[in-house]
Amino acid sequence: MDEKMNITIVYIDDDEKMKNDAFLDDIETEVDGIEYFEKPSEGLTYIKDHIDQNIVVILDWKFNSSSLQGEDILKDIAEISTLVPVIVFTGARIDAVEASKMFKGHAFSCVAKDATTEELVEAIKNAYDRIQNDIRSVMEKWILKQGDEKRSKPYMRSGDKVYTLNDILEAIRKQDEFGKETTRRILSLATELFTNNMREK
Amino acid sequence: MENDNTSILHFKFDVSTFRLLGRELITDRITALFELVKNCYDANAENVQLTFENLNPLSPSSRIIIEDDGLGMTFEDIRDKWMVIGTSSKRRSRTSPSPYNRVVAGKKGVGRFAVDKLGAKLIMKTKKKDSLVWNCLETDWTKYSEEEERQLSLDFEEHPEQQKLFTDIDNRYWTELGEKGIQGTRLEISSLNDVWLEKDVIRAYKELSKIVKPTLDIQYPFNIQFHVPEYKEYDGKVVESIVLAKATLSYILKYRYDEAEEKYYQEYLDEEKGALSVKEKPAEIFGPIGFTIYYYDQEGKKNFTKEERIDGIKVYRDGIIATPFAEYKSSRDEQKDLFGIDKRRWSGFFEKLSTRDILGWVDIKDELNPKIKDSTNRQDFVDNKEWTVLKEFVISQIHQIELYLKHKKETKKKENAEKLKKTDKEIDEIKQKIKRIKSNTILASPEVESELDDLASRLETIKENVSASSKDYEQMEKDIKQQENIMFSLVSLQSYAGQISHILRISIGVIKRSAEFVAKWVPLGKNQDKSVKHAHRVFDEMNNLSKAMNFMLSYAEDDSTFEYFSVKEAITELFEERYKYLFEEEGIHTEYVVEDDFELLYNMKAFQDMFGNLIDNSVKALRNILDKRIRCTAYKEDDNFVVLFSDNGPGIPEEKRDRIFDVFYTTTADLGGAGLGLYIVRTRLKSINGTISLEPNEFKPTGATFKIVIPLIH
Repeated sequence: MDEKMNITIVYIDDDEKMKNDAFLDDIETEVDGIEYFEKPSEGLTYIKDHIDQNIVVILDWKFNSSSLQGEDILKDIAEISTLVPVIVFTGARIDAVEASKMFKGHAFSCVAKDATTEELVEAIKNAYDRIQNDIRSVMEKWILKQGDEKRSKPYMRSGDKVYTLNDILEAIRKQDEFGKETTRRILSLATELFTNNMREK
Repeated sequence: MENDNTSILHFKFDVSTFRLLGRELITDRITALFELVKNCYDANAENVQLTFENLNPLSPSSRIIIEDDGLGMTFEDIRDKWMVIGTSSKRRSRTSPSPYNRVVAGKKGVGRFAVDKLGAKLIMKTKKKDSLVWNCLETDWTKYSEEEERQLSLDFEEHPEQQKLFTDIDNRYWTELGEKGIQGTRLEISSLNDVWLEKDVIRAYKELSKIVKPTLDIQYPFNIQFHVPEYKEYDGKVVESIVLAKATLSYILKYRYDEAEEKYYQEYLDEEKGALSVKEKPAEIFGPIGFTIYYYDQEGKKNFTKEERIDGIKVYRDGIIATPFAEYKSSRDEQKDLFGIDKRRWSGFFEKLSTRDILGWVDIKDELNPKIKDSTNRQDFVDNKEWTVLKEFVISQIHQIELYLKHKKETKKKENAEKLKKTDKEIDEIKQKIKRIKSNTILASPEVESELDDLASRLETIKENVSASSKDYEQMEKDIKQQENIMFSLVSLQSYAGQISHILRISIGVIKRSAEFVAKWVPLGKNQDKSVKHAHRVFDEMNNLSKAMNFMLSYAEDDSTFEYFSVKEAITELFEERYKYLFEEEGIHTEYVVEDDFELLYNMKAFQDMFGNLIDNSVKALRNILDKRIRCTAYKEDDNFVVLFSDNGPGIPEEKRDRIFDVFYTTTADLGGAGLGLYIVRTRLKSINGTISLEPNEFKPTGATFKIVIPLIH
């Protein structure tokens, strides 16, 4: 692998033997950390508490021990933030119905349980790329870099409402109307700045 | 150039664009015919004559004629509506002119394209009631095709003047004298595109029989008659609504608007203890609907000329079939099951009704059910919440009928059995009477006596016959039950195959990645400890796989013999023979109390293997216990046979309790446990509708108790 990825892998799978799976041993040195959770609820809490870090979730799809299924957990993660890439890791047969559940839940990609480590690493790398290149993630990172105090002060006004950086962060993560609008505006601003030079000449 | 710099430009489109549009909108010729007949309906026609001539082989005289007695068109109608592509006149008004007020069926004005799908040449003659002339129009698509060909070979940049557009092509128009008072439209389509075989005509017939909801509108009927000289069976045949008269059961569910509460109430079916009644509840989110459902048993189905005409539930919007449009599949398996009626396989395989047993329709209205919308391809409904709930409602109603039929069948069986028993008793009574007559000195004479003896002996024969048939009947019931069980077991095997392939994939993935790890790092001389760990993992996981394989093999082998056996004997055999020496060797005290007995129809070895798995687990659990005990009690409780199985081992920790029935879940991997045992028990029990659960332990302070429940009537 070229360079270490600045991410924590959160792996949620109720099949305990997967805790010792070779792919975890293999990527151990390539990432910042690996957190394995047998219980989905604990995994969700971890994501919530460490949202300021780069996280890539690997998620089992069919859970025996929990009434929560992959689909529900996907929803819960999207509730926290839609910017966390989730790789569904499943042994089930994926038909169009299941696939559409994944897309709806903002899953980043899907890897079969009998995949090689190489294939899994590829999926993780793609997720890492997205974290690095997605304008929303870049904005998130920038906001998180600001101090707590700065983040809770009013930062901008839109319509009648005043937003702090924290408000903006939340809107971007959940991609609500305001979040989408802000993202769109920043993108077009960036494009304008980028093409400014050209027009002047 | 002119000084005035404003000018007007017109859109133009060429011939191929037009035809392309048509092919997108009308996908097959049955749909085409369907659309044209719907146009007749929209024009308030009461009679439609469909004539097919010289369909096979095709010749210049091959043609299809669609003739109706509807409102007809004026010259202006033809010029401003028929000739305008994409007219929306139909959509402006939602109903046809009074007094018919039919809800307009053809929504997108695609009739003209439909003609193109059937044949290249059209002669249309149409007349209003008070007009004296027929307006006649000839459209020859073959000319358009020639134009299309010609244009393709041209270079317009050099000869722009030669480019002829769709709008430039001439259509011949003329008038013919007619009688006042007659109205209608006649479409004569020739230069047909396809040969029509008899089966195509049958298809057309069947689809058209669905066009109008099969209730008789006496005031404004809509009849379609076929004329097909080539295919005698359909020549002169009137399209009939699907046969409804001979349904075994029929229910019509309505709705009502409550003025005071200002809301709609929906009728629904409710089965309770063998009675099916119509009840009422507030309308659901999809809005109030009418729901008519007919059920046909084998006898009822005989009334249909062809059985496949019973084909499930359709949806009619404002009286016209909504979807799927003229959708016909020659193979039933490909036919669309709009409500998923045939997909329900998961339980009670034999009590489920299929689309071959029921016929019905859901009546919706644009106004009351606005959220039930056609999808753009007109092959389904938009998949929203309202549609989902409507589907559930329809399925739940069918289920109520299933429950009712099931109850009825059971009651009937009981009645029959009782009748047979009663007959037996009655014969005895008659015999008693004969005896009394014989002993009555006034009545008795040698002749009478010999007649009575004859009667008595004949009765004896009848009695024997009755009791023989009674036994036959019981045997037959048993045989049927046995067949059902085997089928049920096979169905559960199917879902089991799905689970097994799921876990095999997981196992293979584990092995693959561990092997990948070893292959990657060993040659580099790195990660040696981990490589050893993964080499072991490969080995262990392979062991699990071969155990799973053996289990599947045993499944494949031992389901061959189903028979009734005594559960008591099966359990006794386990404790007294099969495991006797193991218990002695391990020093385990056993105690088993089988209070009641029960004849189970299953494979006895498979049944014993379930307990074998429990015993194996207990033996492992007891390995470090000094005073080892296993206890098994069995008894009847309500409609179930219950077996409690306990050991006084360390028990199952709280956090593991939910997991122990999962496949490949094991707490004794060190002793070669593969995590299959309890999974097998659960799977096998499932196939006979039984369950296994973990109970509070019987032994104190520690131990594990499993409860197995098997329904007495399974």
